[in-house]
Amino acid sequence: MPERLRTVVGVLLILVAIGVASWQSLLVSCASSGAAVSIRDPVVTSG
Amino acid sequence: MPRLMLLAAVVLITAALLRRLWQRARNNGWGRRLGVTHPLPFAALLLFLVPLPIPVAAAVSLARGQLVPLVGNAIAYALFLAGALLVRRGLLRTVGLVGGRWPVKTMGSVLIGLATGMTAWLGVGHHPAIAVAFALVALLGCYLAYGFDLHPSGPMRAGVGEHTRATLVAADRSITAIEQASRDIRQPELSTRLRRIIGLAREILNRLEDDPRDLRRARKFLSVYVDGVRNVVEDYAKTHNRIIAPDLDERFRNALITVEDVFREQQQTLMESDVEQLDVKIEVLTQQLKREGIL
Repeated sequence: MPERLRTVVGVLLILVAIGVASWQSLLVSCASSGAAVSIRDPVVTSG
Repeated sequence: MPRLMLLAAVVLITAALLRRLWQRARNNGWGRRLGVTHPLPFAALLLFLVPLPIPVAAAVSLARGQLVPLVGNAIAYALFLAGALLVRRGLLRTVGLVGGRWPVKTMGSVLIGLATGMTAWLGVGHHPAIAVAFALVALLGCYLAYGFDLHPSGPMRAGVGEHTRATLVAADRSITAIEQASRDIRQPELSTRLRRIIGLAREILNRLEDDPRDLRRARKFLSVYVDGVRNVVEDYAKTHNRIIAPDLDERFRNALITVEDVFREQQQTLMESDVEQLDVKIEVLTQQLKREGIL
């Protein structure tokens, strides 16, 4: 495999693996409703 | 209000990290970009840039009181930084700017793989098997982008000065480039001649590596001839497939004949230098033996 193609493929794999994992981690930490948040605003229903 | 504070914390941490990264890149990499070498290419900078969401994720996990993602992201980011620094050191060593014998690029790549797996497992919550897949893809990416240095050889050996090492590594790269370009040249006679020239150049380089004292004599050879041959061979390899020019082929053949002669002369000069040094040593030994009445 030519040197340049090899580097491009390597960079793409790094972007895919590390990029996806790190952004997913950020999204999960932002999106998941933590216990502290849900306890602070309890939903009270009548009846 | 708490969300605003969380957002402000995230923005502040990101800004601080970016500022730190900018300073590091300016001091170590981009500052030299105008010079001869590129010690911190884009591919190496990538390892510092791509994991940046992870410390932000760790900060968010901290604010939300999520222990497992916090620990996972924090350890993963530490591993990412350590891995990126090791890979960077390995790349600097490739261009001869630092020494050392440890396979730092390989160690860094393994750390990057571990960090990616840990992020996917503890940070995101993927199944461990999926995390292993993430780690393997990252490791493969590092291998393809930076290569592994399990057997540091040639000019990397210890005991050679940094400047000498840089010169030898640059010459080694030029010879490799000549080798690659020569594969695109289809004419058997020229290919054979180029193979001989490459063989001679490697022999000279090995000799210089074994005895860097000869480097002074061969500096012109390394800086002028090897680079010159590289430029000519690369240009010829590019053009001769597109254009049929018998004159050009003939001139190229003549140039290769001259280059081969010059390389042989250089090799001869180095051998004569060895003979001279041996002569001097024998003379000194003879004088010493005479003084002590043995001869």
